[in-house]
Amino acid sequence: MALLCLIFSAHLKCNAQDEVISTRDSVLQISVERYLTLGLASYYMKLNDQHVSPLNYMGGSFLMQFGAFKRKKNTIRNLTFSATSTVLSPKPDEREIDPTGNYYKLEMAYSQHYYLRSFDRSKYQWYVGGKIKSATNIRLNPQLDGGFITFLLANGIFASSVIEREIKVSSRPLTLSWQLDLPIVNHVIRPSFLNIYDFVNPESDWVEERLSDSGWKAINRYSNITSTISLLYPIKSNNILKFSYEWDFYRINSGLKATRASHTYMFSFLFNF
Amino acid sequence: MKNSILIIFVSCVFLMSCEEPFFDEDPVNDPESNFEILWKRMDERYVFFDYKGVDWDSVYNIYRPRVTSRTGPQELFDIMEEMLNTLRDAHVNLRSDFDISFYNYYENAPANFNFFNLEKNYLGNYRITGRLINTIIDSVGYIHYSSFQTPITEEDLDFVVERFKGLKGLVIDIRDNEGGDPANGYRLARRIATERTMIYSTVYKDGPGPNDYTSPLVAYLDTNDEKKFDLPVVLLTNRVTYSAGTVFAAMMKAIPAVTVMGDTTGGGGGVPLGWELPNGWFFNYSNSITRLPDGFIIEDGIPPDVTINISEADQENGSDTILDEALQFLKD
Repeated sequence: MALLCLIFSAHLKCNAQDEVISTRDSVLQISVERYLTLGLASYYMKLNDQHVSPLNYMGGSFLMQFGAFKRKKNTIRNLTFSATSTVLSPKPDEREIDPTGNYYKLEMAYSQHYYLRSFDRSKYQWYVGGKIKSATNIRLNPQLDGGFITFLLANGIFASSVIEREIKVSSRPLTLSWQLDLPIVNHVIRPSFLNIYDFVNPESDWVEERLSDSGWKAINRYSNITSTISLLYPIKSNNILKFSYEWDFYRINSGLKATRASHTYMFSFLFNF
Repeated sequence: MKNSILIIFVSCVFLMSCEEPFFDEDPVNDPESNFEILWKRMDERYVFFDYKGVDWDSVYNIYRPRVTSRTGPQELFDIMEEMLNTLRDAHVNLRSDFDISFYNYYENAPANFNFFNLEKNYLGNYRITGRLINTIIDSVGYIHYSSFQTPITEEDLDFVVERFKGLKGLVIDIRDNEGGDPANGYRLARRIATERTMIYSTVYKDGPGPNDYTSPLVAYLDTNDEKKFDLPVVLLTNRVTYSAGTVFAAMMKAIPAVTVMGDTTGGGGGVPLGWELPNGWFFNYSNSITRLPDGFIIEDGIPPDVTINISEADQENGSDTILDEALQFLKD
């Protein structure tokens, strides 16, 4: 489905690009701009992993992100590296024991968008493109012996779309945008039957076993959806302040299912260079 | 501008709440729910019901009526422990903030090991290389490895191999070794194996259905380029020998130069896997079945090639008749 949207969008782009480009330039007045980005975010997540617990685990912490952002007349490119570490615990209840677990997330993403068309009297600019993302999610549960470690490693291709519009605050032009990423296909590695490697086999190869647990999954088996709302606020020396809210959701449906949703409220500096 | 801010706000709220339908509600945390979840998880994931002849539905009918909404934590724990112990599996245990349930798999077996007697009457001035107690008794090398939880290194083994060169044989004593990391056993076993040998195969339960198992994963013990003992070997076991100790005995059984003496090991052939209950207690259960090449399931222990028990009289005299027999066997 996502692939079809991408193809359809690309087709629209060919037809529509020439006639609207002059209108769009008058709105955004874009030349080539390059930025280094550095962001700090408040991060909150909720996780249910049937491999280790029937309980939903929640937790919040900070997330660090750095990367590069480049904008040309027709394209937007964005590269990010982000990392966070979170202590998770279930919803408070009158439990005998309050279990906790540590969660680590590392992510690398690169997206590229092409101008497609504008609409609503050129107030809104629509870009389509793709994104590649490599995500490593590791959860440690020291209390669970054989369930000590669970993980989800996903490397995938996403169809992506951005809608932008310019708004003015005190006559200063701000850019408001909404980006939506839908998975096309992901290579996912997750323990299939046991959270530890086959340790009664002297020749057990951890990497080989993980690869045998892996597989290519489309959106119905690994539904990773990301929605990002951003507000770009230009400051001195062509630098930019960026405020964003990202909702990232995944659900894996093979074997024991896992569901995670995260909310990231980020404040970033974009340094022009 | 107002419209845009409104859009942002509505989107944030919408996205924060729209994920909820995709998450299951936390299960109810009351005694009955905790019992039900424990029973059901075991029902779907435990692997030895058929092997042990346990009718889990009947077990439910016995224990479920004893749990009510007013059952207190300690009483609930005791009921759950009693239920789990019907499985006769020390890899099945429940952990709370005040107790850990444990099935005593060696309760009725002879002790067959007394380190005090061993130290006093046999070991002499022994060395402790890494975690390996080692000495020479009447031209026979002796190693006692008390726990597979404590790692041994190739350097430790190099030292002991050199020390035992030219002796008549080797005794490896894993009596009272309750297990740990099998990788430590592999290191030791590779110093004895002279050729690649099939040692066992394992299936893992990978789903809730009664027949949801992986295909058998066949395990081989390969030799390596490290220094070898190159000696006839006797492995000493008793009923306390468990888990990784049983796995080690299984792989040693496959090596022609090895004779196993003593008592049947305690078992524990299923790899334990952990899960949680809504009240925060957590538990382990056996998740795999390991079979020797002839199909024998190792869950209840590896029987020795030569069965020997230490009588109470010998114990009182300070004699270790299992070790005596092993030394005599190797000297002959």
